[in-house]
Amino acid sequence: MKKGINLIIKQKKYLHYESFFRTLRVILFGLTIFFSVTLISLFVLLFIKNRQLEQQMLAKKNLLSFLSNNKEVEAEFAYFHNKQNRLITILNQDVKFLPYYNLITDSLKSASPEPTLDTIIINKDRTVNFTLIFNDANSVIPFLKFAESDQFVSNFSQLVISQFNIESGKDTTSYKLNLVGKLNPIDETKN
Amino acid sequence: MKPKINYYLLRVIKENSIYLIIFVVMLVGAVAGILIFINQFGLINNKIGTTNKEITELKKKADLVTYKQEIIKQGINLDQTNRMLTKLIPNEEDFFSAIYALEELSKKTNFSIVNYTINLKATTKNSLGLTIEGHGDNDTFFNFLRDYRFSGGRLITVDKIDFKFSGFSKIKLNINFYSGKDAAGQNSSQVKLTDFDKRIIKEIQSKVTLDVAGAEENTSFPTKTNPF
Repeated sequence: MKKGINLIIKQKKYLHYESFFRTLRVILFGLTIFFSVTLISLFVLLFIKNRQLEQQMLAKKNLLSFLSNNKEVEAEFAYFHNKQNRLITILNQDVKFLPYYNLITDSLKSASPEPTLDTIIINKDRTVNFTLIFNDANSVIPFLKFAESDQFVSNFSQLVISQFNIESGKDTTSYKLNLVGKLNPIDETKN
Repeated sequence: MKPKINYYLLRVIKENSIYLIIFVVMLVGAVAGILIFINQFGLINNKIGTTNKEITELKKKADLVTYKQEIIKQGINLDQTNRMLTKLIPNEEDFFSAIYALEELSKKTNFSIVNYTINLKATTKNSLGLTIEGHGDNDTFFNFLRDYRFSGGRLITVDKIDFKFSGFSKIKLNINFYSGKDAAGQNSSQVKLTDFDKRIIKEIQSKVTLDVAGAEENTSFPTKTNPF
């Protein structure tokens, strides 16, 4: 018996298949274009990044070559900073004696009558030991009053009278007053 | 019962199979491409980041070369300053340079130093303690107190002064000289000079004289390439 296809009955179904595959082809084409464009863009981006890296490597190479020709400069700065740090550390430990020496001599000038400074010892921790000479006993009392004044005491964090000697010579008698204390630090940046 | 074969559907599938195969290949290619891209992009980005950091550090160092020339215009010669600092604080203690410094200081301030003894209590590996005895008048002693730190050509600090005012004789001072190499600080080479640094340098330059002729390498002598 001869077989046949009934196109009239199956046409609707076949048209549906045709339409499905046509749509699928369009979608596949679209996706292919999308993937292609995406991939090309990504690889262009990668290429740009690669170029950027190459340029940086070149810049680094040039810098290294420049520094290799001038390597002593870096060492000079390092040497300077190390030596200078040491210098500053040492200088910070040093008590600048001149301002302290001036402080004592100047403050004694304000006393009336002005005593004579006989000896002075100043240590780096600003402890001071000084001896004053008075020619007569009447000068000692006013000085002791002066020594208790804020004007004089404000220069010291501690101050005590450690000795008082009367030295009699052939013609003269001198009165020696020994004071021991600690000077207040002088802030030289204020001047 | 035999399953019914849809010949038409098979034919349509066969006709479109090339598109399906191309799509699958493209899809696999795209996924592989994206994976390669992600991997490469990450690697390159990391390298760029690292190189950027290295370049920044190298640029800082390279800037020092330009900076060295700039400070010369401000009157600061780094080579000379380093030689001065080495003179002030030599890498190894040189007793003769300490004595020479005292002589120089004495000449410059007119404060006569007549005697010196080593102060063992104050002497350490990197510092030499001396007790010096000198005489002068009010002005010379003032000059000494003003200039002792740099003017002798060696860095000097004073620990103690002890003197009698009558005649300014027998003034005793405990002083220290310093020497030794310094530990290298981290990144210290990359720090430019501050105003404070410049002030210190100017002060040293004004007080320390450098024997340039002595510091230069002598290359005037004849040389031989063959020792025989």
